[in-house]
Amino acid sequence: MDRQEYNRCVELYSDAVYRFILKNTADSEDSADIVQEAFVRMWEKSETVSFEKAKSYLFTSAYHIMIDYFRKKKRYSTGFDMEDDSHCWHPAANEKTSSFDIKAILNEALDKLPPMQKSVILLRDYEGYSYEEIGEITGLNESQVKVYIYRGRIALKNFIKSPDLIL
Amino acid sequence: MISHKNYMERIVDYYDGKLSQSESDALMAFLEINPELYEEFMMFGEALPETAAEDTLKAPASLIEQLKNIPDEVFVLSDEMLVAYAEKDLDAYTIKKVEEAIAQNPQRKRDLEILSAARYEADEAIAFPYKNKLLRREPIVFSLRRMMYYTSAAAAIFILAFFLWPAVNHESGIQSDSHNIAEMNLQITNSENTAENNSEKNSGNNNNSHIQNSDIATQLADNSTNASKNHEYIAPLSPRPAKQLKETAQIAPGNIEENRNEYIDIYNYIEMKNAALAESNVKTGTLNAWKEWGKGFLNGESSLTDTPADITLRDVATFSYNNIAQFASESLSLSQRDR
Repeated sequence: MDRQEYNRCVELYSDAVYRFILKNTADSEDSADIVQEAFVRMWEKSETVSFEKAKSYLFTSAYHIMIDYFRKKKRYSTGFDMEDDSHCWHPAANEKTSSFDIKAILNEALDKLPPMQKSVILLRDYEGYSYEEIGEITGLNESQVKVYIYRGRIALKNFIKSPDLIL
Repeated sequence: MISHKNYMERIVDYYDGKLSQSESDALMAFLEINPELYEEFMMFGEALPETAAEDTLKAPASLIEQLKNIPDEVFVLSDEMLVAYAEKDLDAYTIKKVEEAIAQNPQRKRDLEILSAARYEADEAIAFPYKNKLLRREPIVFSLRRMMYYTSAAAAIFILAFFLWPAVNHESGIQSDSHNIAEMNLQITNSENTAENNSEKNSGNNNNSHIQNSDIATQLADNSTNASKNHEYIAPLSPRPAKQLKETAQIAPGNIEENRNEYIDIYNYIEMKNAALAESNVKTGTLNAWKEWGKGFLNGESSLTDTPADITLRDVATFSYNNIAQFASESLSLSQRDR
């Protein structure tokens, strides 16, 4: 990858990587640092990383940097109990919910997920990655990715228990 | 061993007829020493339906019919199956089964709608704020140094092309004029000496010689004035008029061009720049054409806007500057990566 291709990657992928990391960390400055570190690593490996593999490399690097970031902040182990719905919000049956609220609820539900489930679901929904690609990024095998996604989806469904909330 | 923990199981087994004689005796012995449990034993027996009633009890016909038609394969729509359906991970057969199950179960249909709605889309409004910091650019200091180097080289060439060439020609012409003037003065002196020497021999010819010398001196004075004017007229972009040069054979363009080679530099420079720019369709002019143009430029018959190339020298200057900047940038990029 030469300088022009690298700069092209900045234009093409920096926003997507930033959104993915920001959604996981919820900290814009830390997210910017992580994205910057990912690009620095890619530039350092520019001799071996091709332009075609750049996006996957960036997401993989950013993901692992983010894991280190979580570990440093000792926040990675915090999760949310799938079976415990005491924290779920159950709106009244006749309560109307706007689209903005739906988005807020979805974001709240996402924040309740364990980091791994959150990451794989974001990679799946944001970037449309396949199970195999998500596995390459997260270091999981395809079956593990599938299990995490399934668990995450069911947890989201359980979180949004009231059908009137979104329909 | 019967205890307070398992006595109820033994009581149930007793009424079901599952206890042996010894086990029944043991149960009775236990109940004798625990009269409160014996009452419980009796109440449990009274609560049991009569055997005769059980014999007459029959299952409903609908239940029997349903049991007879139990399919060989029972499809249970689990949450995992529903998620797999939403993720489009199922084969065609299973998809059909899921859709049939969903159609029969409104609750599962609702679950599927929730699953489908709980999808996340990237917010395009969120953009990485420090994108410019990520871009890799050439280090400015080193580039400027190289750019200055090439710019200086280009400037030197164009100084030669635009300024030094006409100026040297003027100087050459002036020197030649001075030389001619000196030669003519010498001729005049010689003529005067000859006239003086011959005055005694041929006084009749003296008047004619003085008249001729006087005309020559006047002409030389004019030439001297013109030379002085020419010296002041060293404007780089205004060549000297050809008529003045034609008066002296020594500074005729035909003689000068044999000793000059600046046009070769210009020609080579433009060739090099066009090659660097990879613009093969640009007419650069032949060497002879540039030679003729150089002669014409000295004669005042050519101008800077009438070069053998498609581009003027001023355009070449602009071209060269940009090309030098690009060349320096690319060279630096390679050198940086080689480190």
